[in-house]
Amino acid sequence: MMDILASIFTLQNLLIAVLGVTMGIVFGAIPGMTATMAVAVFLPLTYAYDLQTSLILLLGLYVGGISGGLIPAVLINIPGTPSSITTCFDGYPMTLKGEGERALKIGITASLLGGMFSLVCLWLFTPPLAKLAIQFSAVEKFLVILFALTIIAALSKGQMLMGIWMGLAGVLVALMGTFDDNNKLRLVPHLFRKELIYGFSLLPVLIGLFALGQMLEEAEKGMKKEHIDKGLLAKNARKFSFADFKGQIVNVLRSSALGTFMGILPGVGGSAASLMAYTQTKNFSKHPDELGKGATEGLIASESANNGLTGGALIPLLSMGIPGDSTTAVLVGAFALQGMQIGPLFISNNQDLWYSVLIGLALCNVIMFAVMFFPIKLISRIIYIPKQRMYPIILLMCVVGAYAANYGVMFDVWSLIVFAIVGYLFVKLKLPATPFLIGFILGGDLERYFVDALKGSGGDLTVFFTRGPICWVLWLFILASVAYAVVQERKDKLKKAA
Amino acid sequence: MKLKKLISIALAALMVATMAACNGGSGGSTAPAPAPAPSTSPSSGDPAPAPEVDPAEYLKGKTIRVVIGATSVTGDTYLTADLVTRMISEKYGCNIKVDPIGAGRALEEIVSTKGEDTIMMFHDMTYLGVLFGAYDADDYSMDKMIVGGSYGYNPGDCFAASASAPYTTIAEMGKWMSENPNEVVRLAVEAGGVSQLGFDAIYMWLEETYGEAVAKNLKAFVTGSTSEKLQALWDGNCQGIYAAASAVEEYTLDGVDAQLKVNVIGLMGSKIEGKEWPTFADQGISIGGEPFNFSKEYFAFYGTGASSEFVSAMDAAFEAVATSPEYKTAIEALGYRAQFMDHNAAKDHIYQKRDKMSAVIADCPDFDALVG
Amino acid sequence: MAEFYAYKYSTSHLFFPKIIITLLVVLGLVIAVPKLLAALKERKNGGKKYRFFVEGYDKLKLFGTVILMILYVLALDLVGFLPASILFVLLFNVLFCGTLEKNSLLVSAVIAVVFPVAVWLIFGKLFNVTLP
Repeated sequence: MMDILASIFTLQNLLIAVLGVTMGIVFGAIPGMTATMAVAVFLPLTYAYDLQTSLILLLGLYVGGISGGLIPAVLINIPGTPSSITTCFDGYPMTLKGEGERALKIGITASLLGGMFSLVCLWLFTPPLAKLAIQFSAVEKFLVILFALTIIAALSKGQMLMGIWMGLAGVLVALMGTFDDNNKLRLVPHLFRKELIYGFSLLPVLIGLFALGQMLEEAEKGMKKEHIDKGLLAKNARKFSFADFKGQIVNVLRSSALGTFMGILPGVGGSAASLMAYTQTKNFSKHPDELGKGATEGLIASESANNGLTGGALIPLLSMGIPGDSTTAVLVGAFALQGMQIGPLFISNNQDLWYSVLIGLALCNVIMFAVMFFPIKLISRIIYIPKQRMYPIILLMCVVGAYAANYGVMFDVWSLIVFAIVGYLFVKLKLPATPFLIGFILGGDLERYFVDALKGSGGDLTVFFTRGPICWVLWLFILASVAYAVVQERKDKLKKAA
Repeated sequence: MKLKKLISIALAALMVATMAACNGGSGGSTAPAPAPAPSTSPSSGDPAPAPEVDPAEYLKGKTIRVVIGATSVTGDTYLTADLVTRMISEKYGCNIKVDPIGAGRALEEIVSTKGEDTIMMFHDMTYLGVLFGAYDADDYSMDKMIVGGSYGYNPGDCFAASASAPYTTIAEMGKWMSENPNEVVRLAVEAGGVSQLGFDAIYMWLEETYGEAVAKNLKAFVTGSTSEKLQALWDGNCQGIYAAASAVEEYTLDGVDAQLKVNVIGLMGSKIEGKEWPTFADQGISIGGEPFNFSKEYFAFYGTGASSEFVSAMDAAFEAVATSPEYKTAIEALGYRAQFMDHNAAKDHIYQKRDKMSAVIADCPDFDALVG
Repeated sequence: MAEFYAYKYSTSHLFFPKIIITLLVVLGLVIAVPKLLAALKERKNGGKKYRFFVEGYDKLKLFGTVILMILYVLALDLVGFLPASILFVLLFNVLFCGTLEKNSLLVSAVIAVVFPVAVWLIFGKLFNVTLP
């Protein structure tokens, strides 16, 4: 154990960790670039190092990439990564209230807590959690995705049906392109059969709808100079203190646990984690009306969940060789490049590496906190940059991100522009864009697991109810979540009528 | 903030510099004994005398984008392409970058690219995808591209079944199925690729040996990546999976949890030295009247606009790298094998393979009846 | 009816889309019918007109942005990342500032050179990310 510690805490490794985390944060913070991309970009550079050093670099990129997304989400209402969508909901309203710096600090602290929680799970409970994960077959995964989708009902205040409709529309758009099972193209006009062979990609749609749609809105209003009201900023700025986390312990634990668990489930996207944590926080909150208006609760839920993912996703990877999310899937490459296959015996045969991963992950989490927390005052100054100067640069970054999302596809840049206009039209027609996006993000998985469940059962629909206790519990959650949203909607309507 | 940026850039630069200094120490793990490559050096036939081009001169400083027919950076296509291009880049001072954009997009890129800045690296899926109807023959036939050299093959595509299954080979599986006519066996495969070919072969062998009634109980479970297939196997959604032997080898070892453990029940290629795995051919599985023996080979493809100088420069580069001992060791550590064919030999070879397979595929039963 | 929704391998790519489209149509009717009825009633009472753009919206900037975005992507294909980005970051800056005043132009020009070059160097060269 001591020699492992000694071999990790070398100057080179520490520098590498700082570099990894910092670059990860940059990738995470740039709209259209993600942790997965950061890890993929640096992967070929790891040849020169031994496995331990490469792992520290890649884990740093992973942790940094997941965390960095909160910066643009909080400051300019643009989710830097898909999993920081829910961070926008409460983070940006806080910025508008003049509490940008506080929001960032709360987010960073929540990220650290989530990351550390998942690390403890990885360290102590890997074997039982891996066992639990393989209990989740296509049926259960379908229900998990359905459960994540219930956030649409919780979000669409006053227009629940419209929200659900937009969610379904998002699912439909996600289905465009080739269906992997039989390699056939569907829902694509013949003219675009080549461009849309894989449908629209997530990142161009995400940043088109949010970042550039917003840019068009601002352009319509004449691109006023100030980002936010400076007067408000001065008089209202509440300072961050760790006491903000008082009374949030349950929230942090619940959200981190949900994040970790979503990470453990292979093939369930990371963005489901923060969506689910946010909904549950809202459902359990004493003041559900405050969420979405700048409540720290929502911010904490979102950030602790998406960092909870990191340790969670490593659990099935290291214990069974099955990556928990798209970023850890790239990590498999890092092992392969060193001539190493990760399989079910990895931990027992490679104790040294196993402890390196644990210690490395802890180190990267701490560095992530330090690298973001202390210079945050400077970073939060971004909001003082006049919009006219900032949007062109955002556009530039979005174009680079969209093009790089699939390793260089020009059509993705066109998708970006198309969805910028779509996002703008949504706002103008008062159609809720977030449910559409959530449907789009989860649509592919929803179909995959629905179809797989039916294939496994020979087409028997009752399989969704008969597979066992996990199913029943999930159904209970889904029904409770929907019922809660419906009751809330009723209450609001009555209040309005009164 | 500014300072931090500067430092990080400096660090990154440092890293790149150190990497340039240590020229590519590739993984040092134990490599199995080198297997003989099926065909080395230009085969017979009548290769047109290609202009002698010095690859060092032609490729130096060039930037080449390699698109591959896969979307993952961890699969066989990426790992082999990345290895061979990295060694070429180092040797000849060019900059080759592998972009995993997926089969459909890669085919589109290579049939529409004008010059030689973009090339494709892919395997037998190039023609199998067209033969199985996934990609349009009018648009993506191999006639619309130049077949370049081959730099490796995958010796171990296989089918594996759960270790708790009552059979450990395909032959035993057939026997067991004939004794248990009410049991359905589902094998997880991908549509329209090497795995479908393997599945078809098993099906036709069952039909021939035990009759249609038994063969009807063999079903395909169509799904995606190896980890998805493994999960389906553990769920009980299927009883066997298609995968690269190197990817499932970890799961065959002693000490693996009983629920996760698998056995290789049939290898599609030739026997692998040092492994007990039974091959298709050993078990009497044939295709097109010959014992079944199929291994996935990796080729480069160029756009029709590529100059003959470029093609022969690449041939020379592939030859120099793919026959080097360092490359052989490195590719074997990944679970694949080195081979070299120049573009003429590779073209003859892949066209022959395609013609043979197209006859076989024409005989195969409709996949509609096999899925379920 | 059941036939239409049945699962079959060769048409399995349409299996799930059919379900989603059905739900979209049904739910769409549930939403649209009451709304239409309400709208008809409203019109009888001479309701107010729906306004698409905000009052006094900036035509030049809105449509200018859309057009510049499209031209930017076309330019990326034609002349490559660096020249196209420098030109269009400049044009966007000028458009959004809405002035041809010297100082403002100077700032625009500096931004237009510094950022694309930085992106090109860091991402394109250092990290070998494929740029347009």
